[in-house]
Amino acid sequence: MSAVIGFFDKIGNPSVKISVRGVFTDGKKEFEAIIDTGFTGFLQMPLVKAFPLGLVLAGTTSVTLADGSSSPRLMAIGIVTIGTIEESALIILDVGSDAILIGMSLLRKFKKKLVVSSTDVLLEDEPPPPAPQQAATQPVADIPAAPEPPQAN
Amino acid sequence: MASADKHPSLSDPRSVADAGERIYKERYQEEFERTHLGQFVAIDVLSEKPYVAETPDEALEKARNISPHGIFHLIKIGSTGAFQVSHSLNVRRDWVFR
Repeated sequence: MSAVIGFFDKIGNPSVKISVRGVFTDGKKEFEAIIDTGFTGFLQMPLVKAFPLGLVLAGTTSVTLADGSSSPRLMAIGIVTIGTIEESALIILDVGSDAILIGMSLLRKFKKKLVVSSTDVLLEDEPPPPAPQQAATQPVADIPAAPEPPQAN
Repeated sequence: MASADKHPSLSDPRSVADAGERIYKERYQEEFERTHLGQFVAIDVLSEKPYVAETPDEALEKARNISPHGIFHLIKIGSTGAFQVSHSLNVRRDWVFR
């Protein structure tokens, strides 16, 4: 099992280093990203930081903010690297914040489990799903026949 | 159709989002909330076609494969927003590239 070691940022948010790139493999750039369990998306980053990466614009969406209001956002597709794993992800482009946020969908896509203590931030690999349970009963053909009861004379 | 909706452009995300929401409400919301609740739909605001899938990236991938020149607005069926954000400011900036 491999774990990605994170850290707390200067105001105490659990954070991790990630790399993001667009269509060009040499355009990869490293960022510090906050792990936000209240964010249901994949990744959110400021538009101005996304521009130089060559992300592919994918359209728009609406996000529901903490006050219940909704707000339109641009979306792009990029390649995100956490640790040694690289995955494509939908990236919401924000104009109102400097923070880069990792959401729950990205953790699910990378099959990572977030472990936070007072001193440590870890993204561990999720354990593999349990194997399907074997049938409780053996097939009839495999069950040895019960011995014949002794015949009473 | 409002004139702003005729040729929505990604340089004006609000016009794309507004067009996508309007098309969804007028043509698909009632049916999809019965049949695809909780799934995601990417609406092509140019052709007004919907592309439904279980996850947001699948919906957009399907949409982009079938309609590579489309302009898409992503909606979570039955929700006000496709994603919830807890950390963002509500900046009502209606333009990006003007």
